[in-house]
Amino acid sequence: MSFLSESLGALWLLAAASGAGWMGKAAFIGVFVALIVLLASLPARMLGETQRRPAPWRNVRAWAILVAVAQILIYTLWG
Amino acid sequence: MSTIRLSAVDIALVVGYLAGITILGVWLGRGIRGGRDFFLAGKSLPWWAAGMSLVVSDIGAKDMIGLAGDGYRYGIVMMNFDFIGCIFPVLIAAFLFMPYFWLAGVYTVPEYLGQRYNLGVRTFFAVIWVLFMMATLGTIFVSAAAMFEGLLGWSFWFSVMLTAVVVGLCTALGGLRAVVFTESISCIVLTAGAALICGLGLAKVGGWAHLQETIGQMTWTQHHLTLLPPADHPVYPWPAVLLGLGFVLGPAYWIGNQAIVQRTLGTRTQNEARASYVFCAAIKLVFPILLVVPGLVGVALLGPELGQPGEDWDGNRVLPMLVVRLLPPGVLGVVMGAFFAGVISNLDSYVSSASTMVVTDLYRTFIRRQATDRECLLVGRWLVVAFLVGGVAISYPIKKGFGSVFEAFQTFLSFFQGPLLALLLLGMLTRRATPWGGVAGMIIGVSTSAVLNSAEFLLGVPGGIPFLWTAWWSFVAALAGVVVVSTFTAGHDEARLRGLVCWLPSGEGNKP
Repeated sequence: MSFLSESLGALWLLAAASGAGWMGKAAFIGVFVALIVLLASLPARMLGETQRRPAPWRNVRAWAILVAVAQILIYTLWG
Repeated sequence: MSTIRLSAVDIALVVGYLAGITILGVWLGRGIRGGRDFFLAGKSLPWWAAGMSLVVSDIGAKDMIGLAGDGYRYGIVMMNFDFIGCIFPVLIAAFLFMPYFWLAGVYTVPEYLGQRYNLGVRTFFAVIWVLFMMATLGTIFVSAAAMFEGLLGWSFWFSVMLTAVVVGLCTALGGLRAVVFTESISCIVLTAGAALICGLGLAKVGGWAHLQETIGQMTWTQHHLTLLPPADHPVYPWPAVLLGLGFVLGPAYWIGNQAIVQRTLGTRTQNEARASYVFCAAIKLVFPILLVVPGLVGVALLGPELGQPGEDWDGNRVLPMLVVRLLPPGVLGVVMGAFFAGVISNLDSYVSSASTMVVTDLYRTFIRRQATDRECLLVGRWLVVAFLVGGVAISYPIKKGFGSVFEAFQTFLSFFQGPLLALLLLGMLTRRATPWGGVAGMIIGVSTSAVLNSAEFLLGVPGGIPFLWTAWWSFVAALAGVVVVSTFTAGHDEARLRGLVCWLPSGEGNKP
């Protein structure tokens, strides 16, 4: 337990000392990766989608995933 | 600050825009017959209009002024308010939360909380939201006056009164339908105006690469070009940005804000509501760049004049000064139109939502339970006028009390957004959250906000606690309060919770 807390403490100090660095970037990108996984795995029934897949340009879920990918690119470049 | 004289083309553009918006708003209001038409546009809104309306409900005058000032002071970290603080929660709201508001068949967010918890929770948040919206109205009036004062030399009160009259005419007569369609036009004008300021500013400083180089040479701008400042940054440490903004303030604003949710409740189908959210998120990929980059341009162009921001530094001057120096005649008319668009769209959003909440959650609940739809429409229209008068009245104290308009807006938000999100989250995700749990979470969360917001005075913390941390810890406290008290108290039965909780789908014929 103490090893875990010491490790986390060291990581925190490292992040504080070196700017957001890789930890901050990874955290923000991770949020959007998790969001993409969530969006992709939502059951069609929950979204009221019928058995026939909508055309790609009318697929709201696909557009949402595209927006999340754009966010990952932005945080990769400017994070 | 030097003011400018508008050319005939500029004046024609501004007057044409204002007259067009007002006429359109009044024309769209001609078919209104009852409260449902006025408050929810008769559930007839297309996804694209609702999506554009969502964008300008959030981004308006306060953001054009405030983000340019804060962009000057803090740099591109301010873009997080629209990236992690908007796009992430908007997509979550679209796919996880919005369906439950839709299925519950409610007009307002407090109405949902009332169905899920009890009347006390509903009333508390309705009153808090109405007060918040009133404060926001004052904040928006201050932004408008700052811009008009800086650009045209108009007095504070003249600027405020002119804006109030235009918004009052449009909103009181046209209702949500007029608000949303005029906001769609505002969205286009606002984008054009912001793009002009941003593009001309970058051209003036020699492009992005040259701007980076100029900012990099200054001593006080070392974190201006990163979205994620270090964890010991005094105002925006990245962990607080992620936890406070991304996980609390952003979701609370986009999931629990009546001005936002009301637009999606007015769409034709649930899928169109979802599409409107996603469209809004797509537009928001561009907007923060258009609004924050002028602040950086300001550092390069106005740095020697405005200097390094200190305690009494006024960030509201940055954008007006840039506009005066950058824009040629003709172009200025578009930017002034954009600014009017921002002011009007923000004001009509909040005025319309506040009147909806007062009628639904207070008037029809406590004053006249048997009020007819027609009567609610009439009361709603008068409330629009009353809110505008109230907003005008408090605009002057707000102007005197806060250095930056945007900071004022965020401080208001951080007070109760955390507790609201905790109640919505647990209310929608678990059937175990009980009415007493909701009451306890609400009290504990708001008390935590109050204590942390006054940390310098109450706890002796030098400089106080960053508001993003306040939001996060008030959310955690409210969450803990709901969980602990719900463990020992009885909840609603399953039949009542159907259609309100994620894992209990609406029974046939149970909800609209």
